[in-house]
Amino acid sequence: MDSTQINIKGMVCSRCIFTIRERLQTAGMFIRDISLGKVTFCKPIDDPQKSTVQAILSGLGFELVSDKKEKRLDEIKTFIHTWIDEGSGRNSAMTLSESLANHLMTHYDSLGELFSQMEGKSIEKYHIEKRIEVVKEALVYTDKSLSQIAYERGYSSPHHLSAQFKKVTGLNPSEVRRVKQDKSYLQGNF
Amino acid sequence: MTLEITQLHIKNMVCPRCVMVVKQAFDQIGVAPLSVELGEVKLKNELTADQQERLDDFLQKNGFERIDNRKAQLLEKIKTLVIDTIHHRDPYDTHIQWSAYLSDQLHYDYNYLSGLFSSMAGITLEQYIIRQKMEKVKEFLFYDELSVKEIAYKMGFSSVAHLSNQFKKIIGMSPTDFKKSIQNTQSRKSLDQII
Repeated sequence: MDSTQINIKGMVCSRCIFTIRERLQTAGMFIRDISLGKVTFCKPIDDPQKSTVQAILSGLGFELVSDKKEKRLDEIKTFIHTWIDEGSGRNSAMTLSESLANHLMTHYDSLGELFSQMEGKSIEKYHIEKRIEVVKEALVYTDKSLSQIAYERGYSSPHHLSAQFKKVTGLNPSEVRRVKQDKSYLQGNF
Repeated sequence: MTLEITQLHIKNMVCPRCVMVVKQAFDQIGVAPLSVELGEVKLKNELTADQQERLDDFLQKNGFERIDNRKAQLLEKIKTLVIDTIHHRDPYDTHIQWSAYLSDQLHYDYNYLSGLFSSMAGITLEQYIIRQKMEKVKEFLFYDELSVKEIAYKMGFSSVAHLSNQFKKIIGMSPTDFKKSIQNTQSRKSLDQII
């Protein structure tokens, strides 16, 4: 179970397999299986090993398939973070899925599929979790009222925010706010 | 002084790694070739019998073969040109007229080329081109970066349906089914194994 598979672009014949196997083994990697387009290592590979592999492959004229996917994933995440910073569609006529698809010029379906596949959760779920984190920060570090936070973060009502908050964190917003009060109480004591 | 150049023809070379391996082969026998390209090596001098034997041995171990029959050389040239054009040109020229293109590049009448191909390879040249194209489609599906629609466009098919139909005929399943089956099978073929 603890093997790692990488997908490689540009492998077309048995010499490609032969050359890659030889180079990787010379570099001290243990290969379990190698076929056109993929290599399975016996053990998980860490980051320095990964860059070694990458260097070897690009030296031979190959490319890792995941490079492009990871870049895409980063683009999606960056967009979501900006989206949250700007109030999660508070001033926008478009939904997250629409503007994301627009921004990356790709169907939302294929973005969603890629995201779930690589991240293990849907784009929507990721967005909700990140948004709740921002709400949590606002509850703990500012004096803003719940309705004000709800408004700034693009929720339709404080109730909507409360419900979602409870669902994600298991706590009520007021309970988290209490943490803040306890904190200032403690600080007042010192 | 006339400069004599010897040409060797090698079967099954399909990619830059094949070129590397063939270069290594010449290293081993202590000969520095003038150039090594897909299917063709240029040398300053003829090889000695001993060198030739060692070279053939090394080539064979790596799945290559030296060919000296003229017709076999031409067959190999056709294959190499098809593979090179479909697999190693980016962007792939989608408007290519294969008959004109091949006779233009190889300086033979297309009828002669296709006749020679059928009689030696056992499938028609047209079939061969389609199979190579489908292998490229498989490769794209394997990378999972482009949709079938995008692949169809990239490979010069008039529609997704056209691509799907041809794919089904040759591979035996639809592109989508192929995509689903990718992870558990050894689904791709080495380019020199396609016939």
